Amino acid sequence: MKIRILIILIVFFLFIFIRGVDIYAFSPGDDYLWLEFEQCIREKNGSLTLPLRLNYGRFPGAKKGLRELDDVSVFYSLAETDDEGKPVFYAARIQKDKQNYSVNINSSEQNHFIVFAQAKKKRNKITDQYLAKTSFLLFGHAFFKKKNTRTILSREVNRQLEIRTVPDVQCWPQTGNSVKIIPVFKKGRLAQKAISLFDENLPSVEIMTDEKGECAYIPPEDKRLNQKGEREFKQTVIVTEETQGGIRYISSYTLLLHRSRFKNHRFFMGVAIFLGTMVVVFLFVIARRKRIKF
Amino acid sequence: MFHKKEKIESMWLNSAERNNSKAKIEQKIKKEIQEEYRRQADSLRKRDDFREELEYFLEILSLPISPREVKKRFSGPFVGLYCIQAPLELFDALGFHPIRLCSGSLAIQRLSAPFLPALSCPLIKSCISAFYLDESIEKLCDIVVVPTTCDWNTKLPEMIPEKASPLYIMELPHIKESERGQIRWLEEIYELKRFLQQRAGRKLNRRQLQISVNKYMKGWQVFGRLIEFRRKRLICGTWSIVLANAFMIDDVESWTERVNIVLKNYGNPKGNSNPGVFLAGSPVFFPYLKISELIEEAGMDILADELCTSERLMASVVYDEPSEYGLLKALSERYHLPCSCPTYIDNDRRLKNILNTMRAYNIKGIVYHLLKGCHPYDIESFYFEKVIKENGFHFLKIESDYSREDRQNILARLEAFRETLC
Amino acid sequence: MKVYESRFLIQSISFAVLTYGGRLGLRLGHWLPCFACPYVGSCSGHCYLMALQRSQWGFQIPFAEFISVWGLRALGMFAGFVLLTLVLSKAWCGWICPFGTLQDWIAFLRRKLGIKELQFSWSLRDRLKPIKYIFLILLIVIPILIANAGLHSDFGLPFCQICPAKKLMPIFQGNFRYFAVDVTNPITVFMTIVSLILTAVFFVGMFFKDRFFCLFCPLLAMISFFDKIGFVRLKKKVDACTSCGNCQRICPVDIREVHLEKEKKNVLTQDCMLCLKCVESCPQDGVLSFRFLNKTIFSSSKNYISKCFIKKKR
Repeated sequence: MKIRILIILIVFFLFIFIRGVDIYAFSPGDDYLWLEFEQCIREKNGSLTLPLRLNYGRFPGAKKGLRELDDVSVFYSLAETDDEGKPVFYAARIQKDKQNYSVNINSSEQNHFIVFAQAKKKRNKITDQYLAKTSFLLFGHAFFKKKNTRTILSREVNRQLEIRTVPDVQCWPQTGNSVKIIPVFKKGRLAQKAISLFDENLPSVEIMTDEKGECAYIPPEDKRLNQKGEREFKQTVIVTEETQGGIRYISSYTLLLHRSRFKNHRFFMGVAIFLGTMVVVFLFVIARRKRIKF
Repeated sequence: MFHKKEKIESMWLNSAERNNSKAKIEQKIKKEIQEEYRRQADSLRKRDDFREELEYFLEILSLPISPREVKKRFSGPFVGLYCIQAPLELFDALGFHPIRLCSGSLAIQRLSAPFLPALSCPLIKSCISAFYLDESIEKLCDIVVVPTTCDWNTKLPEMIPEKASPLYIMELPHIKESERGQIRWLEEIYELKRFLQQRAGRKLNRRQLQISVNKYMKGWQVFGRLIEFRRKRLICGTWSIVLANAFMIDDVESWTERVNIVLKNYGNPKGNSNPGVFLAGSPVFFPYLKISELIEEAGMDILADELCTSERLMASVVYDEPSEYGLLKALSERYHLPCSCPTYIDNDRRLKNILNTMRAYNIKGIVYHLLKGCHPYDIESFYFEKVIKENGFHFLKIESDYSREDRQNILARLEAFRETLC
Repeated sequence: MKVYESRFLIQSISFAVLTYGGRLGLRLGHWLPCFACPYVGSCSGHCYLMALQRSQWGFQIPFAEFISVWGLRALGMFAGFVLLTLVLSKAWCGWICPFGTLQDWIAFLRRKLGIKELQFSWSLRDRLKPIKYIFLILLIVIPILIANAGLHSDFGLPFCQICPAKKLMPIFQGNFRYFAVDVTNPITVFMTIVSLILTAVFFVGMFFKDRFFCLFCPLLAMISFFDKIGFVRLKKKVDACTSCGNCQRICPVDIREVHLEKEKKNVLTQDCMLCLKCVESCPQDGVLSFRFLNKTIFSSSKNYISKCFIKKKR
């Protein structure tokens, strides 16, 4: 009996080991901060406004209020760097509406935004340092551009643990396209690090980074997303954590995904339909010709 | 459908010359015909503007009196054509030599006079008479193709003696600018093709047809130059009618070559300022050139005409589809759409074209020639006169036949007409 | 140089430029009145029909946005299209459109093989005429419905989805992927199968019939709205026309009006593509003429026919 159980356990562990990247698990009770996309708004002057909502809890369902958190701030960069090669961060104004914290990002022209939100939570012995990140393009086409109203961030930026993706921004991010996830901790990559992925429609997934400190993630096909239109999107939140010196850093990255454009194409079926119809039409023309006198 | 042979013979014997034997009469008439052709050719040779190069065309036009010459000169089985609607290129491509059966001979008419109404179209009378000769091009032909243009042509099968060559009738749709008309004519062309293929014992080759079309297009090109010469008064109306008449008998390639030679050497402007006229109406065919000669004698130049034996003979065949269908469609339309024979119902462009030509070349008057018994032109002439006069042009209708008696009378009228044009 | 030769040359050049010019960095805008298909990755300009159906420059915008910069952008794109249309009118179709050029090449093949062209009866030809307007209405109405009435956005770019150019033009760039059936959802399956069937029909059609697709082209319908105010004219001297029928027979899209017209001087009709074959084939001097801003560029003549349609050698 014991042997049987042992064998089962060994097989089970082997199974886990072989499929090591796909463990459905995340330590319970760990909340995180994330940025959630809302529908983009087209302004009358031609600029685009993207509302981003700040959430705390677990994506997608378990949302807690942000009141438990201290020092909530949102800032963004335009992928610009200052003279020293460091990115320039601008402060974003948080709009509070009861429980909802949101930020409106407005763009008058084509811009690449990288948006961060940070917050703290003090516990008994340990302090949780949260960072939420996302990256996107906005193609604004304003005729009358507003004067630069961006204010450079004055306060400290806390980006010790940050998730980077390669490519860092995609014109049309879609399922089926591989994304490299790289957790960066204090300018160093983290090897053999567990990374959790929480999806809007699919069960959550945990994957490990390799020796180089990176892992490839191919967002799987999502039937629910496929039923929606081509322009609809869903979100996947990538989360990782690292504890050091009494501070637990918990970082998230919100990946916006459209449905795959080409992965569902059945080429041979299409060619068969095309050729089949061609033959039918061809025969039809020939047959009609035979009937006509000249 | 046809008369019984015996009946014809008996009618023949009942005629005025019943005492002479048939052979003798024929001999006599033949001589008269030859005399008629010779006289007309001679009178043309005597003209100031006669050139050696033109002799060739007079020879060609004299061929109807010596059918043996025709056989020597041209090769291949012959097809006789009435009117100008049967596509020449098709015959050429299948190895036939097409000859337009048209006659301007007065003397020959006596042969068929007893079997035809008193007031018959002189052209038809002459043509039918040729079937009664022992030897004629009409009899030489292996097939005779008749499009049903005017009533005379439609009734032709009944008028032709039994022994004549097999007739092939093409039903001509008299409405051109409708789909059904065009399709029906194309059907006729296809039917003709099948018939000719059977006769020739081979299939139509589209490359061969393309070559034939090209041959005739070269003819059209040179014909266009001839018309240009005529408009510029570099060649007179009578000669251009003679040249055009010859096209109806001659092989197209040698005709093209010869006309080219004429146009190369001709072309000294006459430098006169005779008023120009437009010749419209019934066909004029050698040796019946009375009308054009008289107009010139009266001091007018025929700058343009619309006779089916002259300027209306040719049209361009432009095709884009070298398939057999494409070529035959091009041919069917070339012989149907631009033709302005008065037997068509939708013919309103004809008058517009004539008025346009008259305006373009400053022609002030129109001579409307009418053969007695030529009903379509006769009917039309009244409306024609009205429109022409409304547009400020002068109009003269001359009704005549192949006889020579009314020459003085016509000349007097033409001279009076000239006065109005000056 | 003969007209058909220069036309062939210009067509080939514009085919190359519009299909591959993008690789050289050429950007001619999204307002071209010809089928410069945007699905060809290396194209240098875009067919206006795509802009028309999009939300960025076209009609897929909520009504409220019509009076905004977005509406203005749609209007600006339309103005660009109109300007280009006014200058060259249908010459875009007959001389520039790469898809038209492709059809001409395929038809050239048929001619070489001596295969008979498909013949349409006059009534059938007339019944086909409204189809392009139906396409045009649908390609404007469907995007409006998507933006305003909640129609599924997979019906977006409805015409591009079924347009045979989307399948056939990318082939020149080595891209066959649009021949696939998209099984993402029932709507995409439906649309791709419809488009494949239509493409097959048009592909066979354009072999058997000159410019078969052009008979249904909604862009041609749009261009023809501006015929009357454009710079380009096709004139006929009606009095001198002998009705020889050359123009009707040679016309790739079977226009009868040029031949049958007896009163009006302007014979630029809705289906005309200004290929000028009719002017080339007209044997009457000056009866048909092609004019640009009232200046005669090319007119029919006997001499031209002699030069073009008669082979010197046997």
